[in-house]
Amino acid sequence: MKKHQIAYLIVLALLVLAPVQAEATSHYSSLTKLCAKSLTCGPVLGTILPKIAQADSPITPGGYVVIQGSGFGQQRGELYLTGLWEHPVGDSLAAVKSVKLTVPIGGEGWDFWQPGFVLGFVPDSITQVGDQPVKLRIKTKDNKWSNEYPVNFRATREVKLLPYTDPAVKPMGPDTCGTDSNFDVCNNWGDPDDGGGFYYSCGQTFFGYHYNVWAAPENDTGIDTFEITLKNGWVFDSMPMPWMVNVDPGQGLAVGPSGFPQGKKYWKPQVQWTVTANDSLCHGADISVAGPIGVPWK
Amino acid sequence: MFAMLRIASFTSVVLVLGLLAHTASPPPAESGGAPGPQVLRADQLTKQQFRQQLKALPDSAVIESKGQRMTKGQIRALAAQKGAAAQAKARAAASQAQARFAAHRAQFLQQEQAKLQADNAKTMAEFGRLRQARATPQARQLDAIEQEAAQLFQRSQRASPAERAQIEQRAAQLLQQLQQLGR
Repeated sequence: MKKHQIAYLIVLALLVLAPVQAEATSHYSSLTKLCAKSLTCGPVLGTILPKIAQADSPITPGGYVVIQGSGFGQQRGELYLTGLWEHPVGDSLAAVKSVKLTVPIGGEGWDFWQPGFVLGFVPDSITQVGDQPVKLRIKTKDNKWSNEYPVNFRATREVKLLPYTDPAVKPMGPDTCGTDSNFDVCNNWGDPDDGGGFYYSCGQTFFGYHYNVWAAPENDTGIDTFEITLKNGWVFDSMPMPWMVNVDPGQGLAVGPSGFPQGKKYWKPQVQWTVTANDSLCHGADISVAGPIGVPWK
Repeated sequence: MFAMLRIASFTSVVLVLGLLAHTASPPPAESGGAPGPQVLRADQLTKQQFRQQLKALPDSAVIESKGQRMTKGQIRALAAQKGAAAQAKARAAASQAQARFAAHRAQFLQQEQAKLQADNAKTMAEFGRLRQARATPQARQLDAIEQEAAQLFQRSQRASPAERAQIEQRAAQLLQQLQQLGR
């Protein structure tokens, strides 16, 4: 085969395999230059790749996000949130998933998908994930992927009333519950010296009950020390019911705890109490915690 | 009938409480006469001594404090009474706590929703500004060039040799316009 025949075959093959590029480069020098600058035909030719240059952060389920850049194309492509780490719950395993964001339908003559900017909607059904860095990525109609643009993801929040039986609340014992009175109970622990087996809860998250019997020659005193540790982005929210003390009139008293740590994840509240003879005292608190929906806090 | 039952129930509670109150009342201190049962004088003991000795005594033992006497059984009944009262308070407090928390939760979710809506309004406004920016004469001209470039590109794929020349000529004009717009 002669050289000119080989060249002819190569040109023919190029025309068959990549007619668009071949046409554009061989016959259309001006059109090729034009498309190299155009956001409409540039991505198709591969001269302009989609690029995200800016996006709102943080993004949150149920929220909109504006993504700005270039080369998104005139026609609607797809928008993805990638690298979202799903928290394991129960026996499930941790998973990294990709979520497709929806692009709302525009009005007459315009769309939320533009060659240089796109409006995306983050599905509000995303749960079981915490706050974390994620990435946004665009795929054009012509299947060209943009760069991965980093943004922060903020999970939907929920609020819970923490019960004293919750694993986040450290179990009480003789070292943490004051045992000076004749009946001492702290959360789910009763002093075995007093007979145990009685529970008078006056706080949903922690409480202490102390009773000094009739004829007791002195006051009883003690300190109850509780400990609560939250995990996975959960924090103390509030005490909807103020810290309370039930005590017979004119008798014992309780001091503390101090400094409710709103927004923090660890608290070691202490309550110092005193009960006189034939007097009972119950102190306690209800604490709500807030954190990412569907993610365990302990 | 239901009302009568409620009255009967209430009367029973009063009777039981009355009985408990009676048994729990400390008897007056004995003043001489026939020798009574062994008496534990609480006022003369330390806290620890009192606690140890009280534990060892039978329910019939008498304890004296500040001129008043009570059997150990009565003291136990009094403690049970205090416990029952505390338990009743605890139940009421628990149901109040649940109701209070439900209100707090509703408020919390409302605040979260309000924040989300405010953020969404800002985002939509931002998108509106971007659209406005594209409504300037220059942006409109750019859009027109973009659209025509796309059309030319589509035509180029099946163009005859004669059409190719026209497409090239028009593409050159558009390229020139783009350059004039600083692109």
